[in-house]
Amino acid sequence: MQNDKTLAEVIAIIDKFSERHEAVAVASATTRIADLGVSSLNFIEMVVRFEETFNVSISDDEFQRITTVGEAVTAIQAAAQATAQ
Amino acid sequence: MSRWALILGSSSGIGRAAALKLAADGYDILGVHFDRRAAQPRIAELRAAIEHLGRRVILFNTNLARPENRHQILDQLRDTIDTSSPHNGDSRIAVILHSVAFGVTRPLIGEGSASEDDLTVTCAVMGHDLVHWVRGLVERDLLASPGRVLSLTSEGDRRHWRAYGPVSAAKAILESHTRQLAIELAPRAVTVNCILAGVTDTPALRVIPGNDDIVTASIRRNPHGRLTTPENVADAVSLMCDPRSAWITGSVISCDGGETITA
Repeated sequence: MQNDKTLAEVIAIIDKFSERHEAVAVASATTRIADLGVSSLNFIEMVVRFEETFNVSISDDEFQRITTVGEAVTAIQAAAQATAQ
Repeated sequence: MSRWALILGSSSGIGRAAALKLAADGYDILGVHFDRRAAQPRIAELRAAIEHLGRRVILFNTNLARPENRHQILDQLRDTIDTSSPHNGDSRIAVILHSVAFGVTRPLIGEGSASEDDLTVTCAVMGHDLVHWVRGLVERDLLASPGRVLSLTSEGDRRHWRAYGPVSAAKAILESHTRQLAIELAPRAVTVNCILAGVTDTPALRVIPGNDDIVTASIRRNPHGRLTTPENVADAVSLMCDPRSAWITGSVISCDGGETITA
């Protein structure tokens, strides 16, 4: 799974759950998802969307670690690796 | 005779234990939950366990924070539940249990505090939704008579737990709605009660900041020296569904081994 492509797709999904589209437009891997206008209660639905889009199952440990956009990409890639093994 | 129980928050903790208990009591189970893929093996186990008991089970995995999802499920239930066989007894939904733990646990003031949206959505999903679901069932003629409406509260509704403010407010709303609905649904022979569970070791407890302190304090002061289990509360749910509970309504009923009346 290519890093840049995954990052772009993750940001596109975040945008669907965000109330701050202008912030999402300039988001990078280090941006905190909470700063992008994703509410706490939309967060889990957003992660469910990650799982559906990338066809992965993110572990509880990886889920707990997601605070930035880059950490979401890492969680997805870790889940994809776990699936491939 | 077919009897349905609708359990909101059916995949873990008290909701899951109640689903299994009510299935053992002879109810078919409608469950609503919201989980990631990691939980799916656990959901499959629950489904298999209910089917093993010889009961039907329909589970919906959806975000209850979105009202349109509730409308969709209620419409689907109207199409699913056969209410056209009066000789077969009242086959509508006889029990609705609100066991939703989908809220924000954050302080009310300062850094990291709950946002306006956090408070609004927590009070909606964990409080007002009891009314929305009951009203949705009544409007679609899906609530059986006699029937039972049950929800869950905690001691955190009346004493301070760190970061529990938004959920505490939602629990207060639930208790208020319990009293109001009890009177409004009395003509339909539907009782409405709220079970105040002692501190129970569930996934929902584990996400409350400082939960270790809550657990330690509860074990220390509970006269039985242990936490409440989901099965303890499921037994109380089962008792409240017994026909002999028909005169108990509008109440907040403790199920805690005496925990809340100790110092």
